[in-house]
Amino acid sequence: MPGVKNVKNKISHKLIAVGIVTIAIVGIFSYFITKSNQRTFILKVEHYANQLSEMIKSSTKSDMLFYRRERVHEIIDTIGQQKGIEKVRIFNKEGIIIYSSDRKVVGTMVDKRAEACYACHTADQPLERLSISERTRIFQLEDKVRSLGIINPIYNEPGCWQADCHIHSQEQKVLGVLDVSMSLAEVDRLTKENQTIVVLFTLAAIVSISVFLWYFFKRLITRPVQRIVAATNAVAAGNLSYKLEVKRNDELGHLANSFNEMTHNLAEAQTQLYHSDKLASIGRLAAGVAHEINNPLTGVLSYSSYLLKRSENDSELKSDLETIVRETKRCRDIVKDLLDFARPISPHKKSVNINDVIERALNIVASQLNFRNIVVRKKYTDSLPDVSIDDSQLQQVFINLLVNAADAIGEKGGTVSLATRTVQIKGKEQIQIDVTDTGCGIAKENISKIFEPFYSTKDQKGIGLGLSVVWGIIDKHQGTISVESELNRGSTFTIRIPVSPAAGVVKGEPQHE
Amino acid sequence: MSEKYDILVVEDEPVVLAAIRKIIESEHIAMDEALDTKSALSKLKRNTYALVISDLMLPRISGLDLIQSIKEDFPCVPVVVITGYATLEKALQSFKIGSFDFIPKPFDTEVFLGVLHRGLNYSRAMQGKDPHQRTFIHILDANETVCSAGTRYCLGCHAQIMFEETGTALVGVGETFPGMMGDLSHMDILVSREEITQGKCCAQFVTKEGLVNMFWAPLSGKIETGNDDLDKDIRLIDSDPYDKGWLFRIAPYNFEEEVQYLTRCERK
Repeated sequence: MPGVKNVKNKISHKLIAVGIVTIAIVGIFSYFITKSNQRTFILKVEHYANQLSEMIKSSTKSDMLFYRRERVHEIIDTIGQQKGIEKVRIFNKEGIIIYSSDRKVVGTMVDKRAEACYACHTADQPLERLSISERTRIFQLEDKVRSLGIINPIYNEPGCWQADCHIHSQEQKVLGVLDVSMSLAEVDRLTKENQTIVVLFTLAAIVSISVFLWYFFKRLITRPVQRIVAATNAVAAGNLSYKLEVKRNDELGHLANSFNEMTHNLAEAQTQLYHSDKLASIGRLAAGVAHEINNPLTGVLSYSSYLLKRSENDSELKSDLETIVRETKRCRDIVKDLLDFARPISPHKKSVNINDVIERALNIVASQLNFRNIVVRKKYTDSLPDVSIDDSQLQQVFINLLVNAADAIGEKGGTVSLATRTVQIKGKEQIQIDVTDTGCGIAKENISKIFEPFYSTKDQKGIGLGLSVVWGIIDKHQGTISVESELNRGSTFTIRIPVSPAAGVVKGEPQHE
Repeated sequence: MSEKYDILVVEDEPVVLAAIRKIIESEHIAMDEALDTKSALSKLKRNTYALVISDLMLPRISGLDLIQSIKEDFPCVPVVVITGYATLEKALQSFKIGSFDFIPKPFDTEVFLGVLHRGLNYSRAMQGKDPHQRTFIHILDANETVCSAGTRYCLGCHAQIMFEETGTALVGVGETFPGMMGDLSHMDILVSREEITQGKCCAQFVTKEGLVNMFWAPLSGKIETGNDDLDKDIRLIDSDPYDKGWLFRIAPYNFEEEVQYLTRCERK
């Protein structure tokens, strides 16, 4: 079944898409976590660098005011040697390095175009008041680890231009810049470590979620769906008795339940349809055959009876002709039975009590039952509601069933029980009639055949239309008939007729001429 | 030139026609034939016939239409219907529109000759009579269905029903039987299970010559009793058919439904 396969493919496609989306979301999520971690680290370093820079500035302030250069150098050297601090420099407004943890560069010009400065320094522009984030920059010198640089402008204040050294004039705004560079190696290492952990966790999460989903999908959906698909295939192949085992109470359990109910109804409808169809086509066939065959039979019968009439003196010829006439008449009777069977009458319904109809049928076959020492037991429900039925057809049904019961009982005598009662089937009131006999019963393998036309166990006595007729009549009344039987114990025929048949459903075949 | 025949047979099936011809000619009866309704009607206009025997299933125009035309134009000519598709409804319909009798195919010589002679006798008896001067006057206004004691209903001219005070009904022959069959030998009752069904053959009268006349039940019902007097003397059918010569006393099943094929009638 390509359709089923298609659906399955589509579902797995969709699941793959869902998986990809999940992975993408988790990936993006972890990417942002890593990024945010890194930023936090850097902010911390920045904060620390700023603090350090302020600390240097304040601790060197008095030495600066008194112009004790050596002491300033000492402080800067000491701090510059701290782990993680790359360099500490102070340069004046013109960019000449006055102090540096690296003594070699003292007196040289800061290259304003160098990467370290470029970020916040458009070339040749003097430093103005800057916020802390503007004073910070991260840069990477060739083949080196990343560094964070922070500049801290040293502003002019009265102590500076009033000092004895008179190096600075009162007009200057900024006297110089304290530049601290800190290595980001540790931060980068931590970030990397963090990143690795997040990636590993993410992968582990994705894998475990996938496995978990796969397992539960397989257990909760794939397997039951496969079972339903298998059941569907079995039903499609014609096995309408296929039953799904229902263990669960979820949607798929409900689906399996509905499926079972559907196949059950389908099987019932199919049987019904099969029989109706069969009866209808046999009816048409019978009518056609009867009409076609009656003309040649007329030829045979009239000629042979004519010859018989003229062969009074020839005893041998007479007896042969008698055989022809007799057998032709037998053919005629069979065709007549067929025609009666095919008679497509729709029921003429009127409101009657089923008990009365059964009584009438019993009356008609009473002599036949008495003759065979058959005791009739009646278990009627008196308060039976009237039903709208064709009473003469229903009477035919009971006559056929009673005659069959009598035939099943045979010469040895027995009991026929007739019971009527009302039952509720699917919320609808129906009248149930049970006809039970203590006869020879029906073999299991034959039960499915007994309602088929031309099935007979009564060798010469009939052509096997009795129960077919019964079936047809009950069907036209929207009723059902079923049989339970045990060999040598007897049979029970159960008829159910709706008290108020569904409106608009008028069963009955078209009249054929 | 107008010719005079005893019988016109309308039948489209050659083998049936040939068989009928064989039987009829052995009785030295003059027979003419037609293959369809149209030629039958033109022959009826040209020639004189005592009796018409017609199939119901004819090409183009059906036998029922033919009977209706004959009943209108030649009310004195009895029509016997033969059909290969003999349903109860067909038989009842045929009687209702005024057929003399109804024979289902296949038939044997005895049944065929029985109807043939009875039909010819009836035709002769009707000759020169006003067709409405019959034993029973049909009351056309039959909308009101009555089954009180003494009410009579007829199935064409074939059978009659008379209701009794107890609600039972006596079923007997109509005017096409008494005195028309020749010497009767006996009557065969053809019922199973003590009931008769409207439109089904329930009895046949056999003459001393062996000819058979079928009687079609005009009403369905359970047979209460048969007529013992008939067993003693079958000639009651001829001598007193409408009173002592009844065949069955039945308890009707479904008169209201079945009355559609019947007409209310009074004895003259």
